[in-house]
This record gives sequence, structure tokens and C-alpha cells, in this order.
Amino acid sequence: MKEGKFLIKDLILLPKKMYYMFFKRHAMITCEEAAQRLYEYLDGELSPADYDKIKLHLELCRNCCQRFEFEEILHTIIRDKTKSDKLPPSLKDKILKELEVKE
Amino acid sequence: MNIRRVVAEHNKDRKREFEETTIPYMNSLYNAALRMARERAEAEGIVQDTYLLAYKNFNKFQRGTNCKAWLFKILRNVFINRYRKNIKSPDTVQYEEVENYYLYNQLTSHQDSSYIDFLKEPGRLEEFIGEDVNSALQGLPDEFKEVVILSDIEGFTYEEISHIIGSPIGTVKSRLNRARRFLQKKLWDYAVKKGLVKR
Ligand SMILES: [Zn+2]
Repeated sequence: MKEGKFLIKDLILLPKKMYYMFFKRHAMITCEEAAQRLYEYLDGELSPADYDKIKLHLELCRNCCQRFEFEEILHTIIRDKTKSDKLPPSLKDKILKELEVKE
Repeated sequence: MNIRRVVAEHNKDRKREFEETTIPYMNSLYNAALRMARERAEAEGIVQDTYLLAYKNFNKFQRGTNCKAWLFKILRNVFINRYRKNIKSPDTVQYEEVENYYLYNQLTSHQDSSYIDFLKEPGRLEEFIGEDVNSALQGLPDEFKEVVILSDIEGFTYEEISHIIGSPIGTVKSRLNRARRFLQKKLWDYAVKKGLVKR
């Protein structure tokens, strides 16, 4: 997972006006917007800029952060648990033979 | 050199190339077919048809492009034709809407407040729902199940899925979102049925 461009500890050092400008530019996504993009975030489908916006929102918003954490664990379990059945060996032979006939 | 021999050699090369390119995906195709068709014999038939069709159309496949996605697109068509059913567009069928964070919300509103933190400990959530993931997936309507299979099991990107199912990326996104919330509802229902949680 890649690091966001800004860390919360850097923000604390900013003067008040810049602080406000920073938030207006980067952090103005709502919890609803974050929720909408949850799966794009988990699937690695966000552009770097959008990824940073979500990341920052998660650093600032405890509610969303806790939900995302839970969703991430759940997502991993679903991926792991749906892994594959074995291919019946006879199927491969059957298909190869059929191709033989087609030749 | 006789012409029949030249043709035979050419066919042999073509067949070898086909096998080298497509056989590595047979397991994935079989698994997807099994999840969609539910029965082993059916799944085998679907994969067989997919390979025959792919072989017939191999000259249309562009070398170096995404072979796995190409095969999955064929598999999907075989599945649809075999059952003469359309994988309906969920936009035209009414499904109940499941809210965001469904499982999280159920767990936090019906259980003691510390329960969610307990479940976040390593391995806990897996103990809690792990067993039911496959049955929950099996219970989804086809149009939701297929996008979950393509994304979560096969690891296709949204763009690849969009190509396979022939719908825009926006549709893929919203279908995946709805499918996963639907899946969470099923997981919650299982947990309730098993008496793992208070309702
Ligand atoms: Zn939030």
C-alpha cells in the first residue's frame, strides 16, 4: 500500500489560513463519497489523486476509517475463501483429444 | 514437398500455439463454469464447448492481447446460449437495495459495542463468516455472481470485466458495489440462522 502525500502531523504545523486552503483543496470529500468509492479503493482502481483523497479522509474521519478497516478484512476473506476447486484431470485429456479430431 | 504435408504441418503448429496459449486458463474457466452452472458435468460441458469455439476462432485472437479475458468472454457466451437465458441486467430487475457497510452496521447495532473490535482481531472474522462465503456467493443472482467471480476470484480489472460482459465501466462498478453489499446481507442472514448473533 502506498503512502499518502501528506501526513497529518505535517498539517498541524501549517498556519491557519493555509490549513483551511489545504482542506478545501484536498480533503473535501464527504463520508458518503468515501463510501461510494470503497470498493474502487479496495480493488486498487482509484487514480493516485482520488486515492490520496480517500486516504486523507480516512486519516481524518474515525467513523469511515473503522468501516474501511472492517471492509478490508472482509474483502480479503472473501477473496481467500472463494479460491479454486481442482480441475478434473480427465477434462483436459478430453479437450485435447477433441482438438485432435478437429485438426 | 507435397501440399498436404505442408497443410498438416501448419495445422500442427497452430494447434500447438493454441494449446500453449489457452490451456493455462483451463482451471480458471472450469471454476467459473462450476460456480455459474453449479454441476460438475455441466461445467465440464461448458468448458469443452468454450475450447472448441475458441479453437475455431483462434485466428481472430490477436497475439499478445489478453487471452484470459478473451476466453472468459467466450465462456460467458457459451453459458448464455446453453441455457438460452440472458444474464439479466440488474438495472431492469428490481432487487432490494442493501445499504453501504451492511454487515458492519448490523454487527454494531445488534451486538455489544466491543464485538466489532473482537472481530477485527486476526482470524476472528474468518471464523465468523468464512464457512459461508461460498454458499453466499452461490446464492447471488447470476448477474451479480459473475462480476464477483471475475473480480474477486479471477482478479480481472474493471476494464477487463467491462470487455468480458460487454457493459461500460460505470456499470461494472455499480454492479460490483451492489453485488458485494448483497453478499454481506447473505452472510449476515447465515450468521443469524446459525444463532451466531443476536438479532
Ligand atoms: Zn467519513
